[in-house]
Amino acid sequence: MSRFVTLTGLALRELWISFRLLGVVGALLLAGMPAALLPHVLTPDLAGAPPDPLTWLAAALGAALALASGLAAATMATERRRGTAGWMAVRGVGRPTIVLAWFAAFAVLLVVGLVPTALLAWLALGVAVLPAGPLPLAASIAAAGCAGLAGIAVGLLSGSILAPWAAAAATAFPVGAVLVSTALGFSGWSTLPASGIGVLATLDTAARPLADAVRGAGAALATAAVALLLAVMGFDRAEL
Amino acid sequence: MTSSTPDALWSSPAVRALRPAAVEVRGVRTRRGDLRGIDLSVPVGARLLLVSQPEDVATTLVRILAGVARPAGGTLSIAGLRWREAADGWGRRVGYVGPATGVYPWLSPREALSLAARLAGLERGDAEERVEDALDRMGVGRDATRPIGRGGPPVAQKVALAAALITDPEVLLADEPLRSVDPAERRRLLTLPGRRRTLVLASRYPASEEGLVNQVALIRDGRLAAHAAVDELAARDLPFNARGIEALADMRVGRAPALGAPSAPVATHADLRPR
Repeated sequence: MSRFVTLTGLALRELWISFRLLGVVGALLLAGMPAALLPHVLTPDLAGAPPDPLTWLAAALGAALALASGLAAATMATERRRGTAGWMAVRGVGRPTIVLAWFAAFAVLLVVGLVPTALLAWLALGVAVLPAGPLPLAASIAAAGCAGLAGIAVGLLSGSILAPWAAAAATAFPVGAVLVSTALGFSGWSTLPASGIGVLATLDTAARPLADAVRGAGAALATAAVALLLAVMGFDRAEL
Repeated sequence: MTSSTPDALWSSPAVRALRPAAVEVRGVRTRRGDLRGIDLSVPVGARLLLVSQPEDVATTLVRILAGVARPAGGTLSIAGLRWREAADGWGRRVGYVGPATGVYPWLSPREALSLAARLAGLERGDAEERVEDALDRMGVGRDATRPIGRGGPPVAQKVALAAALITDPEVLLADEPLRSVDPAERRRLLTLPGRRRTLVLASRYPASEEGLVNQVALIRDGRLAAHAAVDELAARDLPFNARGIEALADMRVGRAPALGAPSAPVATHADLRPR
């Protein structure tokens, strides 16, 4: 356990020093900006249709989470390639511990980025758009964060077997496509891993947003667990 | 040195006979086919120079022994542990230093060594003592608190070696270590592990390792082509370099040696015990 904590701290420090921490947190904060700004700067004439701030927020959040997933993939692949993961492994640290520590570090990043994003969105939208109060918004953003965790686990999986750029592309584009398309056209199936994003996009019209968000979060966490297990297996077979 | 010193005792024939192999490799092969069922036994306390044709195959074997690469088949044991059987024991009993240092460049040498000690499970007090000792011995005390990246490759490579030795491992696996350090300093640092620790050193420049090792092994065509005491090269008037080791391997298989050296009796396995 102490090794896991040590490695997680080390991973966070590496993310901070390499500006990746700022990149992910900044992208998540920027994702909150459309909700705050677009309704005021875009008119129906400019945008073609009245912009829906919740859809914009969900789509931007999906893109930011895809970026985080791509960064996780590139990070894992780089750790393998430059020998830092090998340096840990020859110290007697189990390979699963290395993967889980990186997952935990990225999870911390998501929390650090999503809390102010949720606050920003609530301050910008308020009860005018969300009459049910802040709880459904917080729950749906948390569910979106869980979808992001699943994306990061997929990133760690591809980073365990591919080269950095290939891993980043193979993760960010599919994850981004799934999350953004869910934001733009949510089917209402809350048992899909990306449905947290869809619940967020339709928060103002949803009948049971809280229950849908919890179901979406559960599906996303289950997906993250499977992807993480595959990532551990892939990393265990990888050359470090 | 008198016969009562630990080194002399450790190297005495009676003790040597009781010691098991420090590294035991049986039938190890890789998917790429650069190792095709290699068998190698390195006695405790031996200092083995491993060379290969092509040159990177020795690196592959050392990386497999260190646990950072996987074999496609075969069995391995180091310091009494089966390959990657017990991660804790492996980290304490086996040290590895490769050409890529693997140390985060933003860590200071002191931080990197403390981290290595902590990950290896050393007690705090013991770890601090060892870190200070390692910094002194490696000659990086002046750079102890500056980021390793600012000191350049020599500092990074010294820290990597110090980290590999921080647990006082029984076996040190070294793959082209300290190539950015000046030769005299490199030689001094590579003798730091002491005479009792088993050393497996993969090198593309065998001539530069003269005096550091007491055994040589050549991997050719994915198999062990020769494994002999260094003295055997001299006994056969072969130079201590890649050509000399290849000529020794040629003699072993009855092929005409490239250097035309006179033939001499081949060393038995007992001759490979460390002196």
